[in-house]
Amino acid sequence: MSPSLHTGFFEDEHDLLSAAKECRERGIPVVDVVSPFPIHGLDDVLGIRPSRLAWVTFLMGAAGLAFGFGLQYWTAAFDWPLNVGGKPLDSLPAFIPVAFELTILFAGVSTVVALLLRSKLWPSKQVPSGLESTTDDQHALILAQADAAFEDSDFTELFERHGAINSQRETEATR
Amino acid sequence: MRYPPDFRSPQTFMVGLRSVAILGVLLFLLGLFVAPDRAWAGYLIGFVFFVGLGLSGGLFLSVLTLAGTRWATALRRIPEAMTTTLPAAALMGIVLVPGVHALYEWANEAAVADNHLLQHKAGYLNWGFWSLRLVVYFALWIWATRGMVRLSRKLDEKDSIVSKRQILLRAIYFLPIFAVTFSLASIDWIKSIEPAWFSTIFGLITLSGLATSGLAVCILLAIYLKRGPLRHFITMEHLDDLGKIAMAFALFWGYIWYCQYMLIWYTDMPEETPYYVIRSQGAWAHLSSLNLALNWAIPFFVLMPKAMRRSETALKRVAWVFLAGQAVNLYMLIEPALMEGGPQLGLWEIGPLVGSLCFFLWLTLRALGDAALVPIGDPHLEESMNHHC
Repeated sequence: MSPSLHTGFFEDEHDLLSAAKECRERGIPVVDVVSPFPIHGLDDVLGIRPSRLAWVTFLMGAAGLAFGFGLQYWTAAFDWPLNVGGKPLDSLPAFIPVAFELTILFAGVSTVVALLLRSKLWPSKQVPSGLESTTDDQHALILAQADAAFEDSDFTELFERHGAINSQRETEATR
Repeated sequence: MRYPPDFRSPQTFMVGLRSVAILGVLLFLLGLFVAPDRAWAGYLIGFVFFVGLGLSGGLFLSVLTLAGTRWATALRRIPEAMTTTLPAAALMGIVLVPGVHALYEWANEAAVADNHLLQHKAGYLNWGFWSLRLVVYFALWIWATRGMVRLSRKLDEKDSIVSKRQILLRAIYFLPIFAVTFSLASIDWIKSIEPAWFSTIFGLITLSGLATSGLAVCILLAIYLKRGPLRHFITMEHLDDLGKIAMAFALFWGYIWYCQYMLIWYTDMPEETPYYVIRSQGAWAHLSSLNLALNWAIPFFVLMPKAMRRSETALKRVAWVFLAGQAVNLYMLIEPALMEGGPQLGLWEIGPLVGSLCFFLWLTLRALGDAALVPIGDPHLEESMNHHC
């Protein structure tokens, strides 16, 4: 028998949260949670690592800062020395606004781009859900069977105990 | 809903705060005889520090209410208690009135007689009108903050009815009154030390220091209460959000500081540049760098990682950095024009500053005991306790 997936549908996200908590405590693998809105505290329950996206923001912000200063030093002091009001060619205070804006531009744009690339998302992408009700008013908790002793009826029992309104089972073959 | 226990700060701590405050007053009185000019300047720093902390409470209450913030409901009594120090600040302001002649060139008749510019400004910058404005500022601030605190405490009473409209109105009154009067007060108290110099964003320069130091006190009190009577009400999530606002205000501080500096540096006008010429030479230059480090660079980078905002120790240290930063900031705003031989630091500066901070904490901790430690009648309290950021 191929390992099967069991999906429980919940109307209240707190019920799903308590079910997910039990799964984690008992070592039942949680494959995914599909929900119409973000559920507070779910990351902790599922043990999801903190996002590394902030590093992209930070590093690309630093790159933007370096580019901003570099561009201005190069153009104003080396490539085409420009005397502005008798100030030194390499006047740091004059370069800060552009460097600051480029820091924000690089950091902001690369955060969005990195998120889209990593999530394999782009505008107008069609994503078949297969769990239509989770785009409306239901939350789905998808579990995998890791232990043959934990049978289908045990999954149903677990879902129902936490207040699931419905559950379904699918195997590799039917997917 | 659990009710927080009645609050009373440890007796020894309160006695300590009060003793340091009294010591500050004694040092100031002694200074009036030994070195009156330095004593008055030191007193002005302590006074502005104190007023800023009290007003920051009003600013946070008003902004949090108008933004419809619910996460901060459990913390609300902290800024409320901070605003109750404003009557004491008004008294400190009245004490400042006899010092006007020692601090401000425009109050010195001989100086005005040979200075055409000062004669021109005498209609606004004169002892009587300056004192009248001081009284008006405090009257408005006390009226506007009392309204917010009174309504919030009224909600605590059983079966009391307070409409959302009333609460919003009080917050709406405060903001424009504060914006105009605080900007004018900064010009009266600090900028008029150098009456020939001008800067149109001076009110924002002082506002940024008010916000960072006020947030620092909020963070310190929140951690103090979280470890004690409010352990079931204030969570790490609240501290994380306070840390985020503090980080934003550190950036705001640096942004405003640079805005004023850059425009004066760029245009290089003879009536504006001397302000920064003094502040970028000799020992003053090192203090300027220290000012930027304490108020902008250190807090901004330290608070950037989430782990730091979720560590009570790190937040407490950053709060003390902000308070030290505000002391250096006010010193750099006030003293360079008054200390001609370079920066000096002695009992006359430290006494009133530390004394006024301790006096502020003593008054605030006492005021926290006057009402329930959290707004128990506020419908958003439960939501705030379960806040997740």
